[in-house]
Amino acid sequence: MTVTSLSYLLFVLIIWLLARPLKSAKARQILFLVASYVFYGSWGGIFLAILLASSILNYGLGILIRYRPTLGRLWFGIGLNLLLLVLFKYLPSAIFVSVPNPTSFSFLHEIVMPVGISFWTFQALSYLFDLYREEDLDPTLIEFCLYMAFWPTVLAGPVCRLPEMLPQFRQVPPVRWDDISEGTRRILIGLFMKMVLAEVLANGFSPGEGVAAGFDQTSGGWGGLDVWLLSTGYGLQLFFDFAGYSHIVIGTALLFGVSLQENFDRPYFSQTPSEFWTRWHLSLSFWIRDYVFMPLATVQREIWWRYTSLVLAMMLFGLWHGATALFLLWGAYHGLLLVAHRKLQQLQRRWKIRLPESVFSVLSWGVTFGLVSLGWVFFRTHDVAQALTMLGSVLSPRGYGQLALRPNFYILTSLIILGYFVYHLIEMGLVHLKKNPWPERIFWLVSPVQYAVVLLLTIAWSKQEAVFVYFQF
Amino acid sequence: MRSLKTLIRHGYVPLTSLCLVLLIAHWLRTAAFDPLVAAQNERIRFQRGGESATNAAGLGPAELALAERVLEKHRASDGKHTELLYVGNSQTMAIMDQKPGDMITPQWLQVLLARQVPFGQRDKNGAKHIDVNLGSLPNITAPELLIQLVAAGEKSPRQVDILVAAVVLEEFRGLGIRDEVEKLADLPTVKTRLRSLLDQGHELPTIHSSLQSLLNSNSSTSNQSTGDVPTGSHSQRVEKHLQESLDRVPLFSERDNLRMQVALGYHGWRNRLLGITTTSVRPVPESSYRASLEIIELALRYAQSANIQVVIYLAPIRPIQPNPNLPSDVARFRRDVPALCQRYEVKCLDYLDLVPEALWTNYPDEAVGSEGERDFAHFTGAAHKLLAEKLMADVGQQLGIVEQEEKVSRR
Repeated sequence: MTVTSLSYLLFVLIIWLLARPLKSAKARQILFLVASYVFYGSWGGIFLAILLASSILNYGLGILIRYRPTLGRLWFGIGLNLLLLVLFKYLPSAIFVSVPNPTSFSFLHEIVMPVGISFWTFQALSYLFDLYREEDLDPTLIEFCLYMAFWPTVLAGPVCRLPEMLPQFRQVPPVRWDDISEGTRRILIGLFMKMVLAEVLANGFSPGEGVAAGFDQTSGGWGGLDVWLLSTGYGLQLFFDFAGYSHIVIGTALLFGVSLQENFDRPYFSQTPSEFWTRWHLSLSFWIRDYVFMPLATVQREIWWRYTSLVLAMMLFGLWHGATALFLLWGAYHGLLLVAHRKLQQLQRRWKIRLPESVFSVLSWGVTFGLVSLGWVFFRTHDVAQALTMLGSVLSPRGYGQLALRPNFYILTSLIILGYFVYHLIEMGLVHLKKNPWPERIFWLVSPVQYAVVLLLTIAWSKQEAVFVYFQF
Repeated sequence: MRSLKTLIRHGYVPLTSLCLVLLIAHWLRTAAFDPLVAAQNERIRFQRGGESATNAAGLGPAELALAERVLEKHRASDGKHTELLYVGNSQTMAIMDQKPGDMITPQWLQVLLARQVPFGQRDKNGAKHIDVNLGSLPNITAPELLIQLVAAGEKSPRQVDILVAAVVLEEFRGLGIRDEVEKLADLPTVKTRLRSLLDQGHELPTIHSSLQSLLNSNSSTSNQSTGDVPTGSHSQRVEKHLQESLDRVPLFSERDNLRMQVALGYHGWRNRLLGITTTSVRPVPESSYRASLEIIELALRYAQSANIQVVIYLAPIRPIQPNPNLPSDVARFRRDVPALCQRYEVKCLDYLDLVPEALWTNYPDEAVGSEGERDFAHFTGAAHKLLAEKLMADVGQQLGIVEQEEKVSRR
C-alpha cells in the first residue's frame, strides 16, 4: 500500500472513523499501532517482523542506557542498529558491486531491504542518543513501537524524534476543523505534486520525453544545456516526489491531530548551500547535524577539523541513501560546497566586498541554485563514468550548441521550473501584502478554481502507478 | 448568524471546488473525445474493425472475415497456422480520406496471402495458411518493437513465426516505452529473454542504457531499484479492485481521456506559440538514432535465435517539399538499415519512395488547422493496397518458407 493509492485513502478514512470516538490515549495508541502494523505488513510479513524485532531490541537497549548511560552501551546500540542496516541495505549491493562473479554470494539475492529501514533505524538511533544525553524519555513498549512504526512516517519519514512524538501520543486532541481542512489540503497538494508534477517531469506527456529518458540515454551525446536542464529538472522532480510524499504524510498525521516535522521549505529559494540544508529534507539534515556533525566537530577545536567534520558528515548523508560511489561523491560534493561557502564568507569579510543587497541576493541564489542542481547529476546517473561525461559536457563550451533530447523535454521542463518559481513568488508576495486584507480575500474567493484544477489533474493522473524515489532508501 | 458565517468560511472552498470538478466532469462526459483521432488530421480513419465489412468492394465474405480478423486485438494463436506479426506505426493502422472498400496494408496482405493458401488449408508443399496479426502502435519506438516481438515469441503457443516490420525514420527520434508495452516486458519469460539478449549484446553500447532501467525496475523515476509492493500481494489485489470500482464512476472512467486532453491542449498551445506545423523539420538526434538501430539489431538477433523469419521494409515517406524529414537523415537511414539487415541475412525492402504523391491524399491539404494540416505519415487506401501488393510481389512467395524447409529436413 503506497500513500498515493486508493487503498491508502480508504485505510486512513477507516482509521479516522475508528479513532474518532476513542477517549483514552492508550486506546488510540493501540489502534494506531495495529493500523501501523497492518499498513507496514502490507509490504511484506517479513518486513514487519524485522521492524518489530528492531523495535523490541531498541526498546531493550533504551532501558539499558537509561539505567546507566555509558558510552560503551551507546556504541553497542549503535553497532547493533548499523549491523541491521548493513545486513539488509548495504551488504547485498556492496557484494554485487565489488565482486565480479558473485555466484558464491547468490543467497544475498534473497535478502530484500525492508522499505523505510533507513528512516526507522535513524529514529531508533536518535532515541538512543537522546537517552545517552540523559533526556527524560520514558516511553512504554507500545509507545516506542508506535514511534518506530507510526504509519504515516514508516515508509520514508520525516525522521521523527521521540521527544516531539511522545507528548502527542499521550494526548487525545479534540477533532478540529482546521486540522481536517489543512490535513486534507496537504494530502491533495501532495498527491498533485507527486502524481502530476513529478510524473510529467520524469516522463513527459509521452514516453521518452522526460528527465528519466534523458538520464537513461547513457550513450552520451548530451550538450551543456541538456545537462543543466536534466539536472535542474531532476532536482525539481525529486523535490515534487519527496515533498509531495511529505505533504501527504504530514497531512495524514494532522487529520489525527499529530503534528510532524516539516521536511521542505522552498529549498530552491536558498541563497547559500548552508541555507539549502535548512530547507531540504530537514528531518534528516537536522539529524545529521545534531547526531553526527556536532559531536564530530567538537572533538577538536581547530578550523580544519571543523571543515573535515562537515565533509565527513555530508559523506555520511550521501551514504545514507546507499553504498554507492555516486552517493558518496554527492555527499562529498555538498560537503565541499559548504566548506567553500564558509571560506568565501571569510574572504568577503576580509576583503570587505560590498554589493547592493538585491544584486548580491540574486547572485547568491543563482550560484547556489546552479551548484545544487548540478550536484543531482551524481544522485541520478547510472555510474561515475556517466556522471563525469555529463559534467564534462557542462564544461565544454562547444557542446552548448548540441541538443540531444526531445523538444518537448526542453519546453515542459522549462515550463515547470518557471512555474515553480512564479508560484512561490506570488505566494511570497501575498504574504507581504497581509496587512491589506483584500488580496487575501480575493485569493480565497478564487482558490476553488485552483483546487478544482489540482483535483482534476490529480484524478487524471491517478491511474498511473506511483513509485516514490525515496522508498528505496 | 455566526454559525452561518462559520459554515461559509469552512465550506466555501471545498464545496465550490467539488462543484467545479463535477461540472467539468459532466462536460467531459458529454463531449465526444476519441484519443486516437484527436491528435491527428481529422481526415484520418484508424481501423478498429467493422470498416472493411461495411465498405468493402470486390472481396468475398470469407476474405472480408479474414481482413476483419487482422484487427482483432489479443488474438491467441491456435497453433494451426503460421503466425505473421505485422508491426509498424500508425501508418499501418490508419487510412487517409477513406473510401468504401479501403483497407490497411496488413488487411490486404492477409487477403493476398489467403489467396495463396486459404484459411485452414495447406498448399501442395504442406505450407500452412499464414495468419496476420496486427501488432502496430501509433508512434511505435524501436524498444517497443523489440518488446512486442519478444512477447509474441515467448508466448505459448508462440504468436510469431514471421515478423513483417515497417521501420519508420520518424520513430527513430524517440526511445520511450509506453505503459502497456512495459507491462509486457514485466512478464517473467519476456524479462528473462530480454535480459539474456542484453547480456549477449556487449558490443552494442547503447542498448544497455535504453533497456537496462526497464529490466531493473518497474519505475522510470530513478536508476536505483525501488522498494515495491510484492506483485500479486493482497494489497495489490485490493488496490486493483478499488481502481476497477472507481472506473465505474463517470469522472474516473474518463481519467485517460482527461490526461490526453491536457496533453493535446499543451501540444496545440506549444505549436501555435512556436509556429510548429507538420512541415517543420524534425531532425533525428544522433543518440536516439544509434540506439534505435542497435535495438533493431537486438530484435534481429532474437528473431534469428527463435527461428522467426523477418521482413523489414523502410516505411514510405511523402515525396513533397517542404518535408519534415532531413535529406541527410533519410540518406543515412536508407544506408544503415539495409546494411544491418544484410548482416543478419534479413530481407530489407526500401519502400521510402514507393507511394507517389497522388496516393497520399484525395483532397488538397494546404490549409492550416488540425483538420487540414498536411499529413506526412498516413496515406490513402489505394496506397495501402499498393504497399501490400508490393510486399506480396517481393516476398509473398518466400513467407513461411523457412518453416517448410524445416519440415522437409525434419522428415
